[in-house]
Amino acid sequence: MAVTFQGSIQTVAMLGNDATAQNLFAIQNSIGSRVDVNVRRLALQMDAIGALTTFMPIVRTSRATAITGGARLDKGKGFTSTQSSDAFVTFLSQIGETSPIAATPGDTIWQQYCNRMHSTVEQQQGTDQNLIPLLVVNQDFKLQPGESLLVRVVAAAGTSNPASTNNWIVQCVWEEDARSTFNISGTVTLSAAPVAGARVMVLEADDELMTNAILREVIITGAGGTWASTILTGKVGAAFVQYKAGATYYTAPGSPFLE
Amino acid sequence: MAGYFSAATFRQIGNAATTQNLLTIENIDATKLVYIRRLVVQMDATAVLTAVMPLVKASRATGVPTGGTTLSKGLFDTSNASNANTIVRGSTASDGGANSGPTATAGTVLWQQFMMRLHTAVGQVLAPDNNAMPALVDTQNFVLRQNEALLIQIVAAAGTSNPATNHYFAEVVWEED
Repeated sequence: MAVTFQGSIQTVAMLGNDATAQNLFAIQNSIGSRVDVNVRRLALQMDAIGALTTFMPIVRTSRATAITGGARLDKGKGFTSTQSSDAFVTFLSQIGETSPIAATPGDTIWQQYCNRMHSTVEQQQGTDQNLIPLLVVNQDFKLQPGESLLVRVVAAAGTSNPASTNNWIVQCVWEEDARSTFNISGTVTLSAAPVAGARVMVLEADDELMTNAILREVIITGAGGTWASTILTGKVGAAFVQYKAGATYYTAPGSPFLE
Repeated sequence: MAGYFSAATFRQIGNAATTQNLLTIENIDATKLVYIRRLVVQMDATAVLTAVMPLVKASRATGVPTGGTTLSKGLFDTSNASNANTIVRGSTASDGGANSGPTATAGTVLWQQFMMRLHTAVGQVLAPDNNAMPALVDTQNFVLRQNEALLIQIVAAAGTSNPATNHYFAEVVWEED
């Protein structure tokens, strides 16, 4: 299809959490999205200002499930300000102790050590650590609608990821690639006359059992009573109408199973 | 099915021996090919080593590996499923767990890397990517045909150069046709 958005995003510096696991960052391409998210760069840096004489934590990237919490990051205007990101594509980070990300990590996609200070002397470097192999610049690493990616610190002991001295940042470059859709449309009538001002609710779901159903949009019909929308190819659409004229409420038989 | 896939070992501790098999990837499919696209090793060493550091060496194993822990595969695109006949093995089933292989015999060395050591235990310790295969395999096919395997092995001059205070992991990206 076509790339509809390219952007970059960064977390603020996040302190460690004194625990053996810490979810730093997540990308969610939620159900309802009209795009595939191709991750083009995912990098981590850290500065540890306390000594650590045991081995350092590992930072792991995985496809995750059950993501909740965290703070939503501002996606900005992207590489080309005329493009806009799909609203169902969201980025989360931990911001302070009050907004941890809860998630179930999946199989490790890629992982990195970062650095540690065996003793607190001399220069410290906070070099880029690739959380996804660099070849994704040219080779798609894809998050389809309903898929997520998680960046997680895994430490052998909580003392290896101290809250007072480890400072983490994550940044990401991604592009959004439009998925194909099909058109649906109709005309709302009452006693054979077109109805303006009717509300048409368009639902989209994985299948006819309405698995993962979402309210795609609410359309207010114009003068001709017409409405039009799109449904992702491979999914099922449904449309339902309600209309209020004065104190009288109307509804109409739905239009389910639009494939 | 065609596509890109990845796998990563758990953290593996040094085995105090002169050789240690970290990762193998094998192709036992009669018709499908496997292309290695990226293979890196990282390590952290928490103890001083004043002797020469171990090398990590990549070679075609002389037979199909056995043992170890079969690693889960990451998918670059969930529309693509990896061939079950592509098998990646590590040495442990958990971070820092007991080493259990994989069993494989090294062939002629394809690529090798020094990694790092602490001559004295002071200052910052970095753990950069160490390419266990040359980076150009990203675009130049390195092919595993049926019953061919790649072995990533630590080779130390002495067992004392690969102590349990060494912490390794290896990870690989490959393509299936």
